[in-house]
Amino acid sequence: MSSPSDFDSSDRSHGAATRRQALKTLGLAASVGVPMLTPLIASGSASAQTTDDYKALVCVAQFGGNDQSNTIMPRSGAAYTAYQTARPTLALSSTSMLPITPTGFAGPELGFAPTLPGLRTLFEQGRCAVLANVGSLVEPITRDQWRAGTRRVPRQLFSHSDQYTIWESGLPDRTSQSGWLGRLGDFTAGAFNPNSQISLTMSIAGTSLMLAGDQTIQYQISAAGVERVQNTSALYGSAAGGAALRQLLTRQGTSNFENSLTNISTRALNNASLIEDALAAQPPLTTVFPNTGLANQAKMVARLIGARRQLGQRRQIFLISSGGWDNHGSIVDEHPGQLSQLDGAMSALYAATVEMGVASSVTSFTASEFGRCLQHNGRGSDHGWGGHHFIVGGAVQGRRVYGSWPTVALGGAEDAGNGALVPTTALDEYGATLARWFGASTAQLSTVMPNLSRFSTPNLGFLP
Amino acid sequence: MSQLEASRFLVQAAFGATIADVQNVASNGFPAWIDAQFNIPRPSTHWDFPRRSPEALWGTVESFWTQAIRSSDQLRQRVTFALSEIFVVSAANAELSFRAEPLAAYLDMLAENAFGNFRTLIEGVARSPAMGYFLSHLANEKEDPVTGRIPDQNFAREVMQLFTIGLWELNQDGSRRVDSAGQPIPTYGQAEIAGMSRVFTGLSWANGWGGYDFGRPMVHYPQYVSTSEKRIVSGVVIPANTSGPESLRIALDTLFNHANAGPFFAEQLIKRLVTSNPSRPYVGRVAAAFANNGAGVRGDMRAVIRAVLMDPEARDPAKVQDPNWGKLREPILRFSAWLRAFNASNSLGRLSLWGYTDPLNNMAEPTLKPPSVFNYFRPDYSPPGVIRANGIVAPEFQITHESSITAYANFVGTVVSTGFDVTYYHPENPPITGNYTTELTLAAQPDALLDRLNLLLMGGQLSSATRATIKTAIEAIAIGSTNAALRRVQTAIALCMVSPDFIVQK
Repeated sequence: MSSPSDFDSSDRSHGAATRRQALKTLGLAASVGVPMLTPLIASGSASAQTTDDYKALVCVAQFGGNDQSNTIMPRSGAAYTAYQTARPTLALSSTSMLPITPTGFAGPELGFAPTLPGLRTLFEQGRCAVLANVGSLVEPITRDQWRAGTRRVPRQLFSHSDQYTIWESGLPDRTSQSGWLGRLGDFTAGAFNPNSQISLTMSIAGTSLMLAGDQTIQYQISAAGVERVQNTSALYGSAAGGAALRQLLTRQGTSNFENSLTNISTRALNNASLIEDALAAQPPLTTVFPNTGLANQAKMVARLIGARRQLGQRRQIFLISSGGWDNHGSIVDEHPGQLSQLDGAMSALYAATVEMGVASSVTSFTASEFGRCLQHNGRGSDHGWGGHHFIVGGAVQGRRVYGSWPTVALGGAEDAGNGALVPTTALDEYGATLARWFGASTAQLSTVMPNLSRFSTPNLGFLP
Repeated sequence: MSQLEASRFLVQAAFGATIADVQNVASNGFPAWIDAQFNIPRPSTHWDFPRRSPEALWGTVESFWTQAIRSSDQLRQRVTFALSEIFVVSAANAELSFRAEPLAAYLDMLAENAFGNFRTLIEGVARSPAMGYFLSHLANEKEDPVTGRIPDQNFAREVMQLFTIGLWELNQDGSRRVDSAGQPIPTYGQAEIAGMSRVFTGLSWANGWGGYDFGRPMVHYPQYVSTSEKRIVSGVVIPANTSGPESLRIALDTLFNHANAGPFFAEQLIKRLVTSNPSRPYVGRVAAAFANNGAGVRGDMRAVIRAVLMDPEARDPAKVQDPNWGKLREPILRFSAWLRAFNASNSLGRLSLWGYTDPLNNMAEPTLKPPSVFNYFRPDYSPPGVIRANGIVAPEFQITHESSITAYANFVGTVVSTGFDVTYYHPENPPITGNYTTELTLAAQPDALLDRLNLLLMGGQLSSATRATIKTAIEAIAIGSTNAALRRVQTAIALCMVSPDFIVQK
């Protein structure tokens, strides 16, 4: 997690004095660009592959805990009434929701939030799936077992930092030196990116444990692009100064702090120009990305996907993120705009993959440290547990709701208290399904998600 | 004591060194300097900083930098900055970024309590309207069974998790207590969160429930205060129908007197000032000072600060050789060291370090804008690689990556030579440049120049290897070549500032 993009526990406010930000409903940016070209097969690759045997995972982190109850909701009948009754000050009107028609779904009629038009379209087109009520679990647990305290549960439920760390590490019951996407990177880097100087895991969102494996260390690239270290050929007109600068940035000594620092600057020195050149060699994308923080990150992901051959990468893992989801005091004012940014970024990224002819090779998915309570506090909602997530991509078996749709009512079958959801699907199953598609073997899955065998559905089925 | 020791101390206790500071500390000793600092009154408030156009947050950003760099009460300034990274309120919140007042008042409150008592400090935090906005307990209403509304739990959680006691029961040396099964013991659960959320109801603006006044602490409005029984930590039960102010007093007293408060705060303050990985005995000694200042007073901030800075571990010169000792200087403190060392200013005498181009943005530490209540970095962050492999933490590495390191190195190259220049965006703000008058007199004597920079910038930690590298670069600029003296000085300063010896304080 982290850095310029950590959890956002700041909360927008409320009350008489609040300058309510006008809700900017961004239009659907995903006007799909040029007709797709047949992907070129990398002639140099040794083994026979379909297309160019390329795959990428894009994690879209929502720091702060997304309010699932104003993201995907029952939209009619008694189910809607129960939803509205549970959070009268927050509930969306049924007529404002964007109806979805999931295949093979026996639950109530559902709608997406009004500011998710792009994801709704992708859902209906079968390019977006919903995973319902997924969360951090140590072992399967029911509401009654939760109440009785008879099952183990993750440490420090409801705490931002601890729960996000679990979403990063994939290990709710012990500390971990690595993250699940980093461990997936460990398996795949050597096999698929043997000659790449650049890490298989790349963050546009600051440092993250999620991307750290036992060997894999993320490479950070800013949304604005790659900056080269200047002055290394000459500092203030002196070549000797430039040489000294390079020496100091790469010096190894005895301090672990100094060595850790110069390891990073050495990577920056060695790789910035490589990445910059690879990006510059790509034709500009015609897909229009909204001008938001998250969409700018998504655009950089699209550009790095475009540069995959120059980077020597047939597997890539990316992290992008947005903060501000911790809406204790501002669901009505802030959450629709947050969702709109998510919608714009994920829709545009999908459109860009279509434009580049790699739509079925790129899967993006959302992550957030927890869902939120269904019960309201007047202006917002408080920290919960299970939540709903989106998976988008050409390979996604979409227009379906995976997992188990919860009862959206206080006192429901999954209510852990105040309408927080006891998860019915584990993060482990979610991650393992993504990792299997990415190429992890069954044996490797037990390293990516070490507790996977405790859960019943290692493949949730939303990817082939 | 040597000037090198004084310089090292000032990296921990100030926003950077000047030669006058170094001489002051070296001649008077650490304890006398600390005591003198305790008695320097605040020169001015952020609240009263002239609200120059444009307004918004920038008046307070300039006030922050002006005090940090130019105030003589350096210890208060540095401790206040540390407190602002523990009790976080951020202008990343849109509402708080619109105006100068909220953060000005909040920083003033921290500064006024920096040398007071921890109990008063946390009351100031709890009643701050800026905090009330940020963590949404401003105008937080009591529960309502009719609509099913429950009080907002945001501040209730973070005041415990981040500000006072943390998540796990601690021994006095900061290590986690364990139960009979060897498991750590949570300090609270959801029931205590719910109880505490009812404590933080009924607080709003001093000028009315629906008012707007960032300049005064929040007050209680009885009609919005929860009258329910409130079960909080330490087994304390606040009876039903207790008033809002009394509930708040009991709750804050309970947190203040919790056994975790001392070791929890001690470890955080050590990490902000001295080292990322203090030994358990070091934490224990500071926690003991928190528990009792020697005169029976708990929470005396002066005693805590003195214990942090005067601890044998903090002052031991041998620790410099310990590969796990020290901490990464965060970008704000790297920049502040340059600003202080060379008395930087623009031609109007101002430090207008703001605008569309806060230089700290690309270094992942935008001034007054940490991304969340978890600050720019978490105290337990451990980056992959040699730090994690050695089982230690390095919080500042959470914002240290290829992008931010590159931005910093390039910023140094520019700022040392041409200063901080945003006239393209803000023609009213001339460039901020360093004054190298004294250094220029040493341009022909590289060793003397580096000796001076070792005191000014390096905390006395300039290694022989780095010295040799920089000396070679200086000498490569031939005396008599164009601008030789200036280029030699700039080369020396820039190379010092990108060296690992500077970026890692030991």
